[in-house]
Amino acid sequence: MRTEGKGRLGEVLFAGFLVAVGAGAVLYTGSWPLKAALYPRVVGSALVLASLACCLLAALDRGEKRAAAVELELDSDLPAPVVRARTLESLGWIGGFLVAGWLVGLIPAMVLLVLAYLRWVGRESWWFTGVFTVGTWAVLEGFMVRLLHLPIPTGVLTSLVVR
Amino acid sequence: MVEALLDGLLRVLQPNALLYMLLGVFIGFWVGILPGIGGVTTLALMLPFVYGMEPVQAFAFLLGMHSVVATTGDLTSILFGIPGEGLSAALVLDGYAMAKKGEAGRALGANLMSSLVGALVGAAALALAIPVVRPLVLSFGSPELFMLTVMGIAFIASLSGRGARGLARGAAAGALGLLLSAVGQDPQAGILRYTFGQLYLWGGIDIVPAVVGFFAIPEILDLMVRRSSIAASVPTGRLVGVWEGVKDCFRHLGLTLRCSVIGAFIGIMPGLGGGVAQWMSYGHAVQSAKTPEERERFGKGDVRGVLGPGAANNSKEGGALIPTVAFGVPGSSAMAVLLGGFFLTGLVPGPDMLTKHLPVTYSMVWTLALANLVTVALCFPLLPYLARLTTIRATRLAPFLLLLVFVGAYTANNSWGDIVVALAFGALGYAMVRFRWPRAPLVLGLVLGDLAERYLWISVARYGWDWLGRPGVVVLLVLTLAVLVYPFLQEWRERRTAQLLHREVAHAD
Repeated sequence: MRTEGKGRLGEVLFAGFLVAVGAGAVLYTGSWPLKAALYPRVVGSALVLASLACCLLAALDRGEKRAAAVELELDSDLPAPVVRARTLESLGWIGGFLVAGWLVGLIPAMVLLVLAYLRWVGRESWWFTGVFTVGTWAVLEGFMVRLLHLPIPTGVLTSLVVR
Repeated sequence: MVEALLDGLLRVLQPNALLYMLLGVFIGFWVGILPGIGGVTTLALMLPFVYGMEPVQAFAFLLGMHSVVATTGDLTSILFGIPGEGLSAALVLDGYAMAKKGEAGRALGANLMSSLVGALVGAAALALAIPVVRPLVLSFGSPELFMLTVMGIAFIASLSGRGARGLARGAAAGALGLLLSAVGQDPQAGILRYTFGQLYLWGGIDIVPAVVGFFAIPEILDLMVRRSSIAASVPTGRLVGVWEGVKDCFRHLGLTLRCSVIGAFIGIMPGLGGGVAQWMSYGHAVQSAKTPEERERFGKGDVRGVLGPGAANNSKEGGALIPTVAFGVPGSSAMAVLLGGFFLTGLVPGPDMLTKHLPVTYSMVWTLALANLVTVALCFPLLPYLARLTTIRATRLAPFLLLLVFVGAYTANNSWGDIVVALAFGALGYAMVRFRWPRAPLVLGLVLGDLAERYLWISVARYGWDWLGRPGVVVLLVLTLAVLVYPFLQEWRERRTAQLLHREVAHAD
């Protein structure tokens, strides 16, 4: 019951956030010529109206049983605190990847992510982790750099060292 | 005509052309599997290689590659929930759900078979439509195309959830997608909209990183939290079932054929593209459910949700070739690149392709059919092994999947902005899944927003508001309203039937 209430509050907040996004988008068009502003005003207003309806229906808790989307469900039998902790931890990994990418560059960050995740979360052996990491680096280097010649961004630290 | 058809087949079966087609199939297979590396980019990269080739060889190579990308792009959608092609995301909903239930083999079998049926229908549509398609394409002006985009979004919004609350969620998601498509330099006045001083956003939000992040990141987060395999707690023996999927295709042959026709039709319409074809056919598959209970199975692993998009994804290629070959009007961005192939081999699309070069046109029909037959034949022995990937521990799979997402997103524009967009859409997708909001209308809004705005402006500039009275527009408007009202009508009928049943039971007692 408590979880349902929390879910409802979450949906009200989410729909409320979309109302704010829609309203903000419409207000932002104030100084634009009609040619550029008409389309965002129309769809922004539609977003406000539809999200307001969602907000109201969620607040009144009307029709949830029927409304369930044709969608995937996040299914986990784990206790809520574990789910919360692991979600935060996973977000930390993604955030850490971004920071590492900014510092050392995209490919080293990807290689670091594989190495660290396999070793510390997957608790794989050093042997498996090493082989998998070297393989990942070879594929990324071969595919992105040698074959496709993609301009891979270097990190801040790498640039400093090169300089 | 029959003579030209046979001549076309013989030309494709010549050793050189056949070898080029097989090379194209091989490249297309891997390009399709790697998320984000789109078929269009690969077509563009391979275009210079057709210099000096005969037209039949060039199109055997290019079309062979392109038609396979659509098929193999579906594999990662089903196995990992990561769309292999930016627009092949409709398969994630039921395909990945089937993989989670341990039915990856069945889903892959159903997908491959429906892809083959779709490709054959698309090729047949191309062969049959060449003489008659001109009046159809010419009767669809900007007003009708605008209404078609509106109908597409209404269709998905109304089918994504039931009742007033479901419809409101679908409409809000669709409107958000349309609004997000407004980001970037506006096509009419050149004003920068919602770019917040970021150069990356001038060109708008790229579909590939957005869709890859939107669908894949919530699934990967879920996997990282669960730390079990995708098909957790399912005995390995059950994972095969490839032939069951093939049989499913024939059990639901009517649906597969209808979705193939939808795909071919959408393909013919210039500019609407593959994403629309997939989602429209997915919507049709959901609509084909006879009871509410049956309908509730969609999104939780109903094989019909795999058959419909799989068929449409491939049949649209044949459809998209029709205006390209007949009028030089590309039906999609891939066809626009392919148009370059015509000029490189000294061909001019248009009436000549239907008279002087008719065998070359028919060789394209045969290439579409043969390339898909070859792909299906090559893929079937691999499917049981691919299905077993869903039993690998999440802690081993997660970093690999994250890499696929980041590489897939990054290769769209080779920019950090792509990765940021993928992550932002991943967060939005996660919130929507958590609150049980449908993601499909948002993607369709994002894909169709540009077109909707452009067609609306052309309609208003060309016809004023008189375009609203055009017969084609009125028909599509009525259909759109019917699509929106239908769920309420269906619900009212169900309630009434239940009441009557209840009264009859009470009366009998």
